Formats: sequence, C-alpha cells, structure tokens
Amino acid sequence: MFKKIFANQGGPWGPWDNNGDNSKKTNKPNNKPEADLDEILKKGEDFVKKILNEAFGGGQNGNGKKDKTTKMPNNKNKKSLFGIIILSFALLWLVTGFYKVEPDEEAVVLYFGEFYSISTPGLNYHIPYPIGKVIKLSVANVNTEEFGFISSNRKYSNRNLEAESLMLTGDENIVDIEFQIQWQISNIKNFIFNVSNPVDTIRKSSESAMREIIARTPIADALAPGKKRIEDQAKELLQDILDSYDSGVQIALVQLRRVDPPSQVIDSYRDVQTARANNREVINQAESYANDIIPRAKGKAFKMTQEAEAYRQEVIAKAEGEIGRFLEVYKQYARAKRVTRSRIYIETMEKIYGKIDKIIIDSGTSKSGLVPYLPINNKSLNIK
Amino acid sequence: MNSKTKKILIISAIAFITFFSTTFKVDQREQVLVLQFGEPVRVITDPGLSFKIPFIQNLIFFDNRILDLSITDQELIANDQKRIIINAFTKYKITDPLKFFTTVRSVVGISSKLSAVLDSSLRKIIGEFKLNQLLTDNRGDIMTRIKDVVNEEAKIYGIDIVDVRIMRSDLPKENSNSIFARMRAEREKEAREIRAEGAEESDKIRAQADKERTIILAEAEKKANLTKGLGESTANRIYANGYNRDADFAEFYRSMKAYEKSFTKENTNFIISPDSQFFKHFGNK
Repeated sequence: MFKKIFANQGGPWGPWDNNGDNSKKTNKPNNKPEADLDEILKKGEDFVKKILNEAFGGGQNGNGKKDKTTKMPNNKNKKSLFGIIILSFALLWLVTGFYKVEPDEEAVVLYFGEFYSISTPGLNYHIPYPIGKVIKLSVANVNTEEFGFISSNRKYSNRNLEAESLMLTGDENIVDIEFQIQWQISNIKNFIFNVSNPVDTIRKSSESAMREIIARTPIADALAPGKKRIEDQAKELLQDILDSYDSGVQIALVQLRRVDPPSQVIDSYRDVQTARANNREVINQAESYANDIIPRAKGKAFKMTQEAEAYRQEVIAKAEGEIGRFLEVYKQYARAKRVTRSRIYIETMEKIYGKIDKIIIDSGTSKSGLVPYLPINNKSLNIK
Repeated sequence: MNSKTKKILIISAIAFITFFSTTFKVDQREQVLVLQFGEPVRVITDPGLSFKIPFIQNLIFFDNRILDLSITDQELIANDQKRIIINAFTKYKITDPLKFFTTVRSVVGISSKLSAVLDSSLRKIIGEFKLNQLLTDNRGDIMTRIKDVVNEEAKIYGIDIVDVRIMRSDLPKENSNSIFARMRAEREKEAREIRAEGAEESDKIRAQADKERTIILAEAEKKANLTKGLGESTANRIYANGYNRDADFAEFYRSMKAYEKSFTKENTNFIISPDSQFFKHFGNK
C-alpha cells in the first residue's frame, strides 16, 4: 500500500521538481501546465519503471541466475501485474488534474501554495492534489451590494438600515439615502491573494466613500441636481480606495436609488413642494386675470375709437348736409331776397302757430295797466 | 527477493514519512514563522514548498493579505465641543511576523491592541478639528493624519497600516433631533418665502394688468375725444364756410329752423302780441 502511494506520488514529484527549478528561473510566465504535461508524464513513467525494475527486475537479476528456469515465468507475471496496478493508479491520479473553467469564470492555479498561473475558460489541466490547487471564480458576474435598503430577493439579517441610510451632509443636515453599487472582479489574482474578506471590504469602503462625498455636499445639492455628480465622485473615490488595496475589484456602478430628507422632516419638505405648486398656481391665476382684462380693455378701446370715428364722420356729414341744404335755399334767396325771406318767415310761423294754443293780447290793453287773468291751461278758453 | 522488496518498501515508507514531516506548503496568502522549541528561528514569506526539522520545529501561520479591523460607534468630541459619533475601519498587513508573534501572538491579540490605538488616535485627531471641518474636503486629510498616527503607534506590533477610513460620522440622537427641528424650521421659512413670493408675483402681474387696462382705456378715450373734436371742428368749418356766404340770412334761416323744431308740441300756450311782424296785416284794416 505504501509503495503504491509512494510510487504514485514520487513519479511526478521528481520530474516536477527538476522541471520546476528550470522553469521557475527561465520561462515561468509562459509556462503552462499543459506544456509540461507530456514531459512530466514521460518522466513520471520512466521513474515508475525504474523503481519497478529496481524492485522486481533487480531482485530477479540477483536471484534469477539460480532459479532462472523455474521461477522466471512466475516472477514476470507478478512483476507486470504489480506494475500495471501501480501505473493505472498513477494514470488515474493524473487524470484528476483535468478541470473545466466555465465561460464566465477564471481560475488560478497554485502549486505548493504558490501562485502559478491564471487559466481561462475551457478544459484545463493542473497537477492534481496535493501538489496543485485550483480556485475558480466567476469574473463576468456583476455583484450588487445594497445600502440602506434590502431588495426583496435578498436576506441580510442584522443590518441597521436606518443607521446605514442616514448621512450627515456638508451643511450639517441629515439626509436619508439608499444606494447600490455593482462590482466585478477585474484581476482574479489580486482578488484572491491581496485582501482578506473582499466583499466586506467592498461594503465598508462603499459606505465610507459615499459618506465622505455626502459630507462635502450641501443637502440641497444632494436632494436634486447633484445626484449624478455624487454618484460619479463616489464611484471614483471608491475605485481609488479599492485600488489602493490592490483588491482586483472593478466598480461598475454607483447608483443613488433614493435621496430623501429624513422621515422626521419630510413633511416640511413636502410643504415646500406644495408651496412651490401654490406659488405657480397663484401666478397662473394672476396671469389668467391679466390675459382676461387686457384683451377686453383693448376691445373696449377699439370700440371707443370706432365710435368716435363714427361720430366724427357723422358730424361732418350732418354739417355738410345742412350746409348743402342751406346753400340750396340761399341760391334761391339770392335771387329774390325780400320775398323769400318773408315767405320763409310766414311759412315757419304758419307751421308753428298752426299747431299750438294761442292767446293774443293787444298791446293797448297791457298799456292800461290791466293784467288780464288768464287760465292758461284751460283748453276751453279760446279767446280771439 | 522478498527481503529486498521489504527493504525497499521500508526505505520508501521512511522516505515518504520524512518527506512529509520535513516539507510544508506556504500558501500565497500566508506567511510562516518557524519556531524551534518555542523559539522563533525563521520567517518564511515566499510561498511554495519549504523545509523544517521535524518534531523540533513547529510552524505558526499568519495571513499575508490585507486584514480588516473595525471599531464600533464611538462618541468623540470635536474641537468646537460638538459631539460626534464615529465608526471607522482600518486595513493592515502583518509585515513582521516575528514582532507580531512576540507582541500580540495572534489576530485576536492584535484586535484589542489595535482597537485601542485606533480609538485613541481618532480621539486625538478629531479633537483637533472642528465638526464642520470633518464635513468638507478636509475629511481625506484628517483620515490620512489618523492613519499616520496609528501607523506610528502600531509599528511595534509588526504591522503596517494600509488605510484608516471613517465610515459613519453622525451626530448623537439628541443633536439629530435639534437638527431635524432646524431643518423643519428652515423648510417652513422657505415655504413661507415661496408663498409670499408667489403672492408678490401675482400682485405684480395683476397690478401691471390693471395699469395696462387703465392706460389702454384712457388712451382710447383720448383718441376718441380727439377724433370727435376733429369731427366737430371740421363740421364747424363747414358750417362757417357755408353760413358766411350771407351771415344775416344764415342767422334768419337757422332761427326759423330752430323755431320750427322747438315748438312742435301741441297744447303749448302762446301769448302773442299782435305787434309782431306776423300780424302786420292782422289788425290794420
């Protein structure tokens, strides 16, 4: 049993050590395990054969001379059987060195704990345990970390969400923030070897970075127009922090999901919004008032000017008409002044006196001082 | 044959055991301190296969990566006597396993020591700054200073401080409440201002509109009067031109027209003297 194991493991060890020294010094960076595989296998095989020869063949040589004829066939059978068993175990062991790297993954290969290479997706080979070790990780996968909230598909138990989301702003106000970051492994070697507990490191660094940025930002900026700037700055700062640890992590996204005033004061903020709305409403009303009265005034003004114009033309036309008439009459008058004048007078008087009630008082009567009593409104009195 | 095979088996077994007890792997993520009878003799930082003397030497493994240490919420006092609650974390690396082992033995040991160092450094540095300086670009500098101080004090433990970062910096609960009160007051003020501005703007718009209306109407009236006046003056000119042909007749004619128009109503009582021209021929004969 021991022998088998020893043979198994001794086989690759010897050659690997020899090769290892050479390859370490000369061409380690380009050296892939696959490249060495044939050589290793060959050398391993030779080594196993040598041991087998020493174990069985040597013995045969020593004793074989005496019992050549009798024991030789027997020994040969035994030897080959033993050899086959050992070889097949060795092969079996070597076969366990194949491993598959999925398309989204990368893997690092360690030999005796030392980093050897990074392998890419596909079928790969490494010298199996206990010499080699493969650590596979998904590098295409985008991981999300949430702060201040928990999306339904995740379960974190002991996070104090309020403490996580309330942050002090640059003007000593408090703001309630929910954000998330997305990260990817950019360098699997650094990711595995440089920082212990990388996910925790990412979380803490994210929170620290976001709080540092918020601590420089006045609340008014954080609440509305500065969101994009905060995200960019936090992303940059976070990446700087993680790079300073050589963490092999790439920050893909820093996103502010919600930025609100804390719940204790949110009503006041809403009231400001309401006030803004009220403000607009009042102004709109005033504008509609203005839009109402000014056109009306203009209409009225137009009407007034039109009426005035009408009046002007009316007055002129009337004047022209009257004067026209007068001139016509005058034309006749000019021919026979006295006659026409009298005629006009008498005609006019005729028209007037024809219609009205008349009392004629002789001037002689009035001279006598007698003022006659006149029942002026008495229609029956018709004095001639 | 049998004895030889046995011999080889035994030799192999011994070689195997010896190999396994003398060699050990150092992971890329580890460093190793080799102790001989409890006495540190060697530090191995290169990963790969290494050797030791079996039974006499034993190994202590340390992490070779950047390690984390966090301190929980601490209430500190800033230079302006304002109290602030801070928590922070530090990233460190074991650079001298021997020193590390002799001073604190393990990661558990360093945690308490480093926490104390970090805590006192935070108190010291934060105490030099005003609260509002923490809330500016200075925060980065403050953290760098804390890091330097911690690094200096932590050297004796064989570690190197990679980073010190303040995570949360919040005000104590009672201060938070006063901040909330202030925020509310500020917002109320803002809301009032906005409403007042709205009223102002609205009044301005209305006043402007009223003014425009008045002006428009007044201008229109002016224009109307001018137009009317123009009409009247034109009419007067026409009358004057016409009547001037014969002022005397015009007066007579116009009077006649006026009489005729005036005395149209029946039942008008007239007391007439027969001396008038109309009766010239009335009583004479």
